[in-house]
Amino acid sequence: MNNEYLPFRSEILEVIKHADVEYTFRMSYDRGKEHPVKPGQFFEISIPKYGEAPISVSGITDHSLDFTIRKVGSLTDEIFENYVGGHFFMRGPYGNGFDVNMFKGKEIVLVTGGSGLSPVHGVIDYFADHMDECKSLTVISGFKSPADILFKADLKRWIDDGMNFICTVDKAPEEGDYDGHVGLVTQYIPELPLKDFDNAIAVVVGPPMMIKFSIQELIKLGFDEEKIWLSESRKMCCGLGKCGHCRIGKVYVCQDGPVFKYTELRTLID
Amino acid sequence: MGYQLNADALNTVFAKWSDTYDIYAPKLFAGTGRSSMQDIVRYGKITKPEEIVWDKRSDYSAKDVLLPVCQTLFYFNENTVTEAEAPEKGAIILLRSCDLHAIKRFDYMYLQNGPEDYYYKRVRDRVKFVLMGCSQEFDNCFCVSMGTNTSDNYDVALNVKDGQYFLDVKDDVLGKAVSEAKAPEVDVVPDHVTENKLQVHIPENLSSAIAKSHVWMNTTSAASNAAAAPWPVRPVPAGPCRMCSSRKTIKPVNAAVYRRPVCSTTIPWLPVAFASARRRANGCASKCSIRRWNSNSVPVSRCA
Repeated sequence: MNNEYLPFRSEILEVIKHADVEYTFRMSYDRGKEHPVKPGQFFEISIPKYGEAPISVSGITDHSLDFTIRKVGSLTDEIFENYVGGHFFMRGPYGNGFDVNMFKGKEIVLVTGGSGLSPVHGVIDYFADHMDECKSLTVISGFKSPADILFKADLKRWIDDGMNFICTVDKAPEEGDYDGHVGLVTQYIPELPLKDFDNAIAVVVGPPMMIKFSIQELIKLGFDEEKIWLSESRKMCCGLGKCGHCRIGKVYVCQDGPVFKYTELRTLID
Repeated sequence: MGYQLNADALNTVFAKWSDTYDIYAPKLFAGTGRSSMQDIVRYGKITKPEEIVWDKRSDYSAKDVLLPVCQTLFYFNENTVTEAEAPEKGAIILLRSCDLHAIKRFDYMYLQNGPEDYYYKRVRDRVKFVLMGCSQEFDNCFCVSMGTNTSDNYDVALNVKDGQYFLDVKDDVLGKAVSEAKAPEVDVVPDHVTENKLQVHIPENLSSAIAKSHVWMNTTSAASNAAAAPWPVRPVPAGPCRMCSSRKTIKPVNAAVYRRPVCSTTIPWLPVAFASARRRANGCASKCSIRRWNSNSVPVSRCA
């Protein structure tokens, strides 16, 4: 009998600091053949005595997984006390994740807010390396301030690969040398250079309010509701559909999600 | 096959069953209720038939045996994590017909909905059910309307009448100890009620759309009002949260007895009496779904 709750030990290979409260932990992962991981899936990361939390995978290689974590509570406070050479306990992968085949040959639009960039980081990484497999890729990524921008090293690489990447901040500091975009992500959606809405697909990940208004703008622009996807990791706890914390009606977010079609997710009201 | 046993004979049977099984039944826990000096009936380990409470309905369901509120899942060392061992003995659970029907729901959730729950399965595989006959209904029972007044998927059925015990045995393992008691064989049909004072009519073609009916808005409001009421509010047991809660009883300074939430993360036990604090406590309880208030209107939420 297989114990699905049993975590395994994973070494910290690298810690990448993005902002004061957001780090990426690169963890060892040698179970990729038996348990392949897709972008958008999540793992339960635990530290004994501090608890367990679902964290989305933000990067996938043959022998490692990246987890971009924001320091917001007792468990993540403790996670941030660990550095290279330390370890966490993990179990997963859980959830449905993004299927990159779904995006192939299409005009892709990704709209993210804050740490919402990390679940789709794997999708962006894949198409950055395989730009010929999609017609176009546009990413609109919003952050609170220049200091909160995630994956700064990757941004340059993605833009060099030919991606249309719009990185915007809510408010630019009065002092400093920031010369990028300023404003909410919704401000840039009407300017999207899409040619064929029948062959376009959009993914929105971020805070609920940002999702709401981004979807409104996408629909106004001409997107079919069926072609908008969301990732919403709402109240997930056990990851196995047992505890019921994430249940909305008949849907278990941890099992049936966290990636949903907009037409499906909008009916899930609790 | 049916048998008639007196108390001594049943004691002997229980003693033999206890060699390989822990026996659980509704049991009286004096003075450990929600408030001080209040008794409670809940499932506990028994050794003698006299400990079984027949004349009251259990305040908590039999699921506490299958899904303990507090359970050690793992032992962590610095580099390793090991599973806690399974209970040495199997379990015999004495329960009523409605409770036995409820087990089907647990089986569905923990064995079929997604991967099997390891900890549930290893206990469930070694459980035998003894059906307690209901010779009379209790207040607010509506089992007849639900069709849960009778069950036939038991291992042993047990009726009690005039100090005599009547057993209908289906399971060979448990039946061996009964047959060794050399009790007279009789025909036994599990006692069950055939009519309730309270009748519930389920509308035909009931759809899940009812979940969004406006009637639940009133329920929410009623629940809020109940939270503010200075009298005890009966808790509504819902799904268990084994991952992060446990049941411990402590006595705070004002001598009332509370069940203290043992939380791994956020809000611990909050003995505060203000509405704003209650709302914060509800935030915690919303994750765990069990909340209760004591007679002094002090909100005590369990788990985070």
